[in-house]
Amino acid sequence: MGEADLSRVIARVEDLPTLPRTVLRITELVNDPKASAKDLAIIITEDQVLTARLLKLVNSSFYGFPQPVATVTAAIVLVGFDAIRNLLLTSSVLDFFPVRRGKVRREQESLWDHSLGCAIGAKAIGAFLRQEKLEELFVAGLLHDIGKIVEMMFLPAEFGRVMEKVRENGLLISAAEEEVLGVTHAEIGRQLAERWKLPPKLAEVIAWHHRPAAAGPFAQEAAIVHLADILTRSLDLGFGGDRKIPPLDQGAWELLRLKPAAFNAIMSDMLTEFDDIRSFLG
Amino acid sequence: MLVLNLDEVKPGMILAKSVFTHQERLLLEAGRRLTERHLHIFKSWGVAAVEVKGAAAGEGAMPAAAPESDPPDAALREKFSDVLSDPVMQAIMEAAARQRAARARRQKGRHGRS
Repeated sequence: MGEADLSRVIARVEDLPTLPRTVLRITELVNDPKASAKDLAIIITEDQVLTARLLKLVNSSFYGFPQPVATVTAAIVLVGFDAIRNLLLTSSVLDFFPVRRGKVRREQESLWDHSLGCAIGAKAIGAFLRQEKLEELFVAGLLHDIGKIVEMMFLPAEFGRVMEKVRENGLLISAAEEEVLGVTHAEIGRQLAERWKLPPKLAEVIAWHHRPAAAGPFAQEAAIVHLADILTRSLDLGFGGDRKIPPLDQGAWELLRLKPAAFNAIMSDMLTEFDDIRSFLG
Repeated sequence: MLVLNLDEVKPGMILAKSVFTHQERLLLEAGRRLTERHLHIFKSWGVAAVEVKGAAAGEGAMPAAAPESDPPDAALREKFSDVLSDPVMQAIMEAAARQRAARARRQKGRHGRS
């Protein structure tokens, strides 16, 4: 569709608020090799909500430490910088979207379940491939569909028309978005990631999770998220917005060098972990 | 979850339970991916065995083969209907059906006990 529509959508994304300053500072700090656990603890303890959340998480059965963890510094040392950033990024992004009632809320929740499934899937595939940065893959999976949340929240009328087309014509959501908005959730997500000054790798993976080969140096990560998306849909974890499974990108499959025999192990891990995390979030 | 002797543990496996020394000092928390260095540290602290996660750790840690009797149902087939010309997608569909059935059996087992 026309240029006017595209620029209008992007203008709306420009109006979005930025991430809380604390989270931006934490993201910067985690990327700084000279930063210590103490530096990070100082920033976190300035924010009571983050502090409470962090201590709740490290004391949950998810981590299973034998002794209660009482201080933020101890939590950071035990869990690690990357996991802390993930936790804080995730919960802040969740907070950022106001809770609506009724149908929108249900749609949002099932999209978050889809995102959580994809995060777990990306991590499980990464573990299978012996990748180094599993936490990074988790965040990429979690945020890959953030553009859909933006549409839901800030372009509700257009998003309604997109969903209508998906239902009536059996389109994939990206195809319906192209028709209605002239731009897909992947591009909107990239705009948001850039605005939030998230790491460029994350922005590129969000932008290309349907066409991983275009992600250049981050094609491997994009391919992992692309496959995780498909596995999540086939396991019915949450709802990604359309009923059909999108095709597996041939280039992505070749890049991953997985054998089909791996699917059972990966999906078994995904379901176990999804049920675990869901039980402690709920 | 699998308990493995230290000499069976390979780098890349995921620790399922935190590892402590005899003095109850934490060596490595659950959820971490094991590296050569970790294994070396465990050895020097006299750790004999650790628990690792069962599946995605790679070879040697595959879950037991599921029964063949979990074919994809009609709803799953419908979701895959546009992509089944790809044999990889066919494999994904079959694995998804199997793992969903295994999960349903697990959940049923849990409810049965409580």
